[in-house]
Amino acid sequence: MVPVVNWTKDKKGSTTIQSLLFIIIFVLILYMSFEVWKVVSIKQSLHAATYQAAKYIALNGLKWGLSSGMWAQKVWPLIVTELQNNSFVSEDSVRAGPGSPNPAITIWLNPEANMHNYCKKGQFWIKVELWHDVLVPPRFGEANGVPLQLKFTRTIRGQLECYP
Amino acid sequence: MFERLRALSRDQRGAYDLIQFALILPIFVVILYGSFELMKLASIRQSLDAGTYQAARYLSVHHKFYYDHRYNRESVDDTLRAECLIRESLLANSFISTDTPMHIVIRYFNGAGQEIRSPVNFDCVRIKTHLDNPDTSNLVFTVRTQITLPWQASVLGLSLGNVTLTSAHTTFVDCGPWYPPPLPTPTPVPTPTPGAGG
Repeated sequence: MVPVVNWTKDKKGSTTIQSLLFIIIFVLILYMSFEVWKVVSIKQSLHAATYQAAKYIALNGLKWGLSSGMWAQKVWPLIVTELQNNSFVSEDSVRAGPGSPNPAITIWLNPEANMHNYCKKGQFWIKVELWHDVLVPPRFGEANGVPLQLKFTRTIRGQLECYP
Repeated sequence: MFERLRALSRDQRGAYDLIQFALILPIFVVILYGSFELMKLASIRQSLDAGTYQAARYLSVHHKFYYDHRYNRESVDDTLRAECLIRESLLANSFISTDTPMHIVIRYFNGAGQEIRSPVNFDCVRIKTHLDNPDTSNLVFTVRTQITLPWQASVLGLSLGNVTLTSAHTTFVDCGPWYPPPLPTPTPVPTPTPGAGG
């Protein structure tokens, strides 16, 4: 049996092992940088989509009637199209429906607003929540990576445009 | 002198570090050049995105209703001006030379995803006539741009092929807050009842 002392003092191949460790860590950092870039890009798209939706409501909200549910229906295609302009937002991740839609749109409209006072009381906000899966690389002892679900939220306040 | 050189060649100290350095250096140089190439592409992509956004915004505001008879402008001019915004945004990027011919494809899509010639011919009056159930779905449009770079991306002389960058922005035709002003609530006028007050 080889004494442990000899094994610990054996420095043959240490450079290769060190380089290998360095490369693995470097590749992981590279992958995570790419994931961070994706997240930043998706957040930018989410902002653009929410901003366009708020603008759309401010200009057309009165035509659709003072109903936040109706507004959410009207801005859904605009938000989804703008999000899907980003190639990092997959078509599978976007789903409509009463269960758990992604993105989820919440609109609040000042309850005091009506067809006569909307110029003063027509405040609203729109919140869009988008879930995005990130694959975290496997840690020691794990076979596969772990999907991590991130939630991005963007809220924009607005005011219904007043008829001139 | 000769003895010193011989001693230096026999000296094994630092050999591990030298090998390690020799292993890491080429990788490091490739990553350095690769990062620069990536940065260049990201910068051009950013300019393309900014130009596409500006074009979509321009087309959102300038459309048929505004030029119709009062502004006396041709809609084709609006499309050309919007496309000029994209080109100007790209040319403002220092990585793109004015002498280099660029191949830019600009396409427009309606809310249903069908390709259209240009969104500027939308007539806002159509919305005004359907106040009961205004169909505003056709207001949404997308500007999609694609540029094929006139050079091939390369790292240390190794060509990575032609690069095509794309960008798209979705917006809507801004028809303004079209809605007839709400009629004033009629104030109840007391009708004189026969026989009262007399």
